Amino acid sequence: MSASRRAVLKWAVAGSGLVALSGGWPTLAAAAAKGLEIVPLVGRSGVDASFLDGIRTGLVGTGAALSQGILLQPGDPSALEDLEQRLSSLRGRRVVGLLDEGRQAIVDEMLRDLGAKVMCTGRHSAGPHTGSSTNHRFATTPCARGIGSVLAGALASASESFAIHETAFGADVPPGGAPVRLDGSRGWAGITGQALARVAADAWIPGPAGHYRHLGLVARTTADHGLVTFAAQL
Amino acid sequence: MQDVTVLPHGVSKGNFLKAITEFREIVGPEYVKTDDEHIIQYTKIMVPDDEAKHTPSGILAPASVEEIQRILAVCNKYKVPVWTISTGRNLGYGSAAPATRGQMVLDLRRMNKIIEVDAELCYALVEPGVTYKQLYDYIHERNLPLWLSMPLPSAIAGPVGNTLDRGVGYTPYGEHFLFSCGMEVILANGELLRTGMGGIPNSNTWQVFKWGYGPYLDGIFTQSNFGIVTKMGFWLMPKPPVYKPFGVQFDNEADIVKIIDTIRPLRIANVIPSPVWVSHGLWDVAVMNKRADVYGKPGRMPDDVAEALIRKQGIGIWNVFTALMGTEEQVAVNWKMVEGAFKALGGKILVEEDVGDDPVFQYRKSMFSGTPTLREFGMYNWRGGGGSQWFAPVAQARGSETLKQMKMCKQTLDEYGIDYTAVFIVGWRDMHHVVDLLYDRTDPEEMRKAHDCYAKLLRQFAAEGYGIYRTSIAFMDEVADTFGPVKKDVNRRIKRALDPNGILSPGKSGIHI
Ligand SMILES: Cc1cc2nc3c(=O)[nH]c(=O)nc-3n(C[C@H](O)[C@H](O)[C@H](O)COP(=O)(O)OP(=O)(O)OC[C@H]3O[C@@H](n4cnc5c(N)ncnc54)[C@H](O)[C@@H]3O)c2cc1C
Repeated sequence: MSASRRAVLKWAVAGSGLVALSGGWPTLAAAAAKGLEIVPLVGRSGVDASFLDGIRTGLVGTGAALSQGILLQPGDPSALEDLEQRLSSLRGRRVVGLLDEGRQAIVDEMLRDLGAKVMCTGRHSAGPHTGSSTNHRFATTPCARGIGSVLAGALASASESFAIHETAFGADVPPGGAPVRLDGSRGWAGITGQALARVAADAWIPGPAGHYRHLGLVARTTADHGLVTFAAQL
Repeated sequence: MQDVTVLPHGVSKGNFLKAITEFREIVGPEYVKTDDEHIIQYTKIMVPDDEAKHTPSGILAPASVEEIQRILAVCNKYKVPVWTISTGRNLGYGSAAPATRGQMVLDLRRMNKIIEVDAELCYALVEPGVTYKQLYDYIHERNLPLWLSMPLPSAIAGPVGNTLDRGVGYTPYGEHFLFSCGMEVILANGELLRTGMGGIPNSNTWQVFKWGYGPYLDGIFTQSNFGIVTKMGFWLMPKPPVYKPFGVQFDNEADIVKIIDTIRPLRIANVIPSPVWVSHGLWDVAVMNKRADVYGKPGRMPDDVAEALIRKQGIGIWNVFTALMGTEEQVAVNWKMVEGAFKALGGKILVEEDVGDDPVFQYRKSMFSGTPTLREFGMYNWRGGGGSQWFAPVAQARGSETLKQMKMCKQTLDEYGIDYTAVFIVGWRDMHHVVDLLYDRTDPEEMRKAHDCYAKLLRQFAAEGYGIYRTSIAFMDEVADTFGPVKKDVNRRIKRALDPNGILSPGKSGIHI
């Protein structure tokens, strides 16, 4: 049996992501059949709009439904207490989030308490200490594998400078078909929103994890820095 | 059966899978996780190290002492190690991740019973999964006249984990291990030890007399891997009739010498009963701002830039905060002494009557009365990128020590381009000089620098005779080395005697079999 066939079987046994392993964009009646609902969670960073736009675009054709999002007010992280209750009422749904580091540190702990399954997290920096490029560090489980290379492809096509590092958790995943291409004109937040939406909708086509760096022509367009993205099942 | 991603060191896949099957029988399949989507959450570290070095093999969440005992029998059979956490919020020290790759995290969150709160003798007995928030709510719902002491991640952390790592809080009971009283510990062979008076059947003094008989053992179960603590008693403070929090701001960095020399006698004589928080203004700026919004350059923020920024934000270069408490008469007498002492230094004194609703004052007021708040997490937005490693050397509570340690720190931070965001926390005779090395994990070069910076600080401080009070999973061996070979060897001999298969938290505090 070939390694890739074995891996597909493994996935079948584990009961997740099998659809994503077949070639091409899945049409994913599967997501609709599963009744997947995607809940965006954002916290008033400067790139919320692109991220949300990305989620909407990413979900097109997946069959998953976009639910009403959660918007956290800026300010004291202590005000997050209500969020835990909110999240616990969303059992079975998938959350795609973009938050600042301070609040994400707390939300991470909530997700663990709630027994959520985290598919992918990404850290994104665009502060001046990163020069004119954006830096991204992803941790991916097999169902989100390759997100770094897809972001790299999209940013490179828009001539942006970036450095991307993806740490792969779990089993190796064979490439699932033609590499995903996403619209690079939306900046990193829009691209990541699209990618995470597809991950959350079980519509991601896994690719290789790796490190990518590109010196582009376009200077950083956003002053935002220190943001975290994630996709999780509650 | 789920495939296995990370095997414990030296354990075959076959044996590991057998162990997993047996764990499932003990705790139920839903409380044994080996899937990547759960494991990944136990690898979210802030410390400057690769997650891969700290990836667990899986997660076990038992609900009782008996389940843990049975788990340990399986661990001994297959040599599968477990890394114990209580609430697992050891943020900046390794969070919930193990010291070495390939351990099963033993997550005790389901053991979250508040077994007893005695409002007359003022103590609590709790299981490891109890959070400060849970205990706070319990006390408030019953309107008990008791105060808790808690660390800054208050609401989400818990007294057992915090005390076992010898953490600190901010009421007069802030040195948490000092105020713990009686533990129940499962040893590696499954035996159940009750420390102090707990060995006497039907004892009702377990939570009121610490020492018991013979060698006092509780200490060897803190910052260690000699046992799994399943119950811990600790003393609660009677709610004081009068609570007077106050702050004092100082305008010059060199003022720190006289600040500490003024605080020391007041602390030792217990005129000031609480620990004293003395934060550098850049710490407070960092909690409230993003660095990129206020300073656009790499490298450690120069002192003159930091000072200008601190002044602009209306805070002191040093910001003292602490509290007096007791009866009205006691507070009045002590306040006279304290106010006089700080006025003589030229500090700007802040009391509630003057600053009212100021959010920073209110936040610190909560912190010093053991009320949960998470405001300090704003710190992680300063640099961005999610990197944080606490460097926390201990110092004598003397002004001259502050300047010396600060100079050593800044020189090394300069070399690695990391800001001096620091606080001195004055205990009774000591200070914890806590420096948060904030860096960007998205930049491998910054991560390397943060790692090397900590390593160098550790070496330099040790060479000057300073040790640190606690460290992260990235530096446990290195810190153990600074305390000398004999201590290390004694720890190892105890470890071998109590846990010959090395199944309990290998690597914790640099202790291996
Ligand atoms: C912004 C910020 C501010 C902070 N301020 C403070 C502060 O003021 N004071 C402070 O002390 N810390 C502070 N911390 C560090 C840390 O978050 C706290 O100490 C926290 O209480 C530790 O997590 P925990 O209570 O969940 O303990 P856990 O993570 O559960 O346990 C800590 C360690 O103790 C050991 N352990 C835990 N349970 C057991 C057991 N049952 N048996 C045997 N060994 C066990 C393990 O080695 C474990 O890694 C701060 C962190 C942040 C992010």
